[in-house]
Amino acid sequence: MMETSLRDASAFFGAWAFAGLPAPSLSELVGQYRAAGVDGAALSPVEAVLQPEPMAGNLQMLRALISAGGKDFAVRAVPIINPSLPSWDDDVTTCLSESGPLVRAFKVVPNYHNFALDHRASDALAEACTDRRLGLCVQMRMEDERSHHPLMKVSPVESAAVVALARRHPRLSILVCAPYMAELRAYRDCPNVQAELSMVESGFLLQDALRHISADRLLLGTHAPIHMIAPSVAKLQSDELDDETLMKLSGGNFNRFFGSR
Amino acid sequence: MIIDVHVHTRSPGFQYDPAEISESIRLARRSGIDRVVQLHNLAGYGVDAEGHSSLNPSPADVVRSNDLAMRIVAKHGDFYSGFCYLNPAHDPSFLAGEIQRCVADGNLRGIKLWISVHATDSRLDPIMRRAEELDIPVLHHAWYKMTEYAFNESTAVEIADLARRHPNTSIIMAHLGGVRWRGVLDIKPYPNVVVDTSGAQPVAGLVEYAVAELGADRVLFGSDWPIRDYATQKARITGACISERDKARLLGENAARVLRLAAR
Repeated sequence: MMETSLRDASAFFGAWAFAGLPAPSLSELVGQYRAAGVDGAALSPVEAVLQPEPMAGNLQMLRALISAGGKDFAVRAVPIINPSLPSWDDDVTTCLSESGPLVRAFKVVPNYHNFALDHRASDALAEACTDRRLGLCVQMRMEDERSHHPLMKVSPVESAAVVALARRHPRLSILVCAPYMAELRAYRDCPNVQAELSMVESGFLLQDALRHISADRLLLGTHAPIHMIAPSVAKLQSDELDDETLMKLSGGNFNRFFGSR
Repeated sequence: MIIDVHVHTRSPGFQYDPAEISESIRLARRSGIDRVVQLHNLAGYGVDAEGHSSLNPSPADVVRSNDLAMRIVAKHGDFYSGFCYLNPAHDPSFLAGEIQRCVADGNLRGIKLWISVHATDSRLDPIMRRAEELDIPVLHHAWYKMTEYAFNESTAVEIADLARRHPNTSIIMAHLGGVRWRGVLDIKPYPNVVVDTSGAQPVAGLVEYAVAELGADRVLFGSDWPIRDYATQKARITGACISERDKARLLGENAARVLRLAAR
């Protein structure tokens, strides 16, 4: 494997309520990334998935990232927006004014926040992101549905809903987070949809994934700290990739989506 | 030596596909894996007139699956070990004959039980007793699922019941990633049970928890290829916060002990 920058397109900051581990501090999380050879990550506040409104988690994360500085670790903040809340537009403005260039995309978790991607508020957020030349990350699932808490069973987002959103907003750049391998094929003909690899897997992983979606639209992603970092990094080493493809998957596509700093 | 105790093939109809096998070997060796255990063929083939499917295979299909495993081991004995796949719902004389054909007289070195009947079913008992006599491990599927429960799928507490009934039979409980924290606690009192690391997503802290609760001697590397990827699954262990000594145990030493590789 050639020397290349490794950047994680989908990870979290904070403690997931259903995990068996306490929340790592930012420095601990960065230490875990460095141990795995990763030099940048796009972080979202995981508490914002379950709390009644996402801004407490967003602001806590943004302030932690700003105070850390992060000179030698490329952090992107990806605040979570719930467009079904009346305050969502103010939340977008606040996140951008608080953190400036750290935010190059927002994330939505439709099935945890109980709204549909075809809701008019989703379209309004999509337009707001497009107008500001920001990306929109769609979290398809937080956990393998088979292992959900018995009182917290949440269906994944349907790929068709993402495809429809992408077609209604062709200038919006969308990153699908935590899709499964079989779901990638839905995006084959959606040039404005990217996907990250954290839950994509098969025995012929990269061969299969690249059959479904082009190398320009596939990104390394880990789902850390809910998931381990090393297994996702290993996906890039699971088979031969030419240097150009490896550069795209490991960090080039990240820099294009989240901006290079 | 790095040993993966949980591998399948996926070509349909129990066919030996040289291209698939050579690709499996290439990908495994690329990931630093030296030996794997072929369990059974996963490829579904619908439901026949008697209600048999890949979840509840007929005797003829069991024979075909085991023929495939023996052929793979015969051709690639330097890389593959193989287990004899059984459906405990079948006639006891057929089951005894298949163990004799494939293990005692054949080249397979363990028994694989999947989801045809629950691990609590007494029809497993003659199989477990014969495995004890032959000094071979029994690998049994297990999972705790909130959705997608398939046929007679066992949970870890049912594996614990099997271990209690057969304390002198070596059991590999499949899918730490499926049974998770609860499953580790279920089998903890039964030292004849080890767990393989395969199943689901690489949830942080789970391998460390299993090692802490069971001891590093009771956790084995399993990938579940070709559902999962060799390199990704191996990194569950190499990336875990456990000692290098314990990683070596999980990646190969424990499997060599359970499979009696040195003794054969």
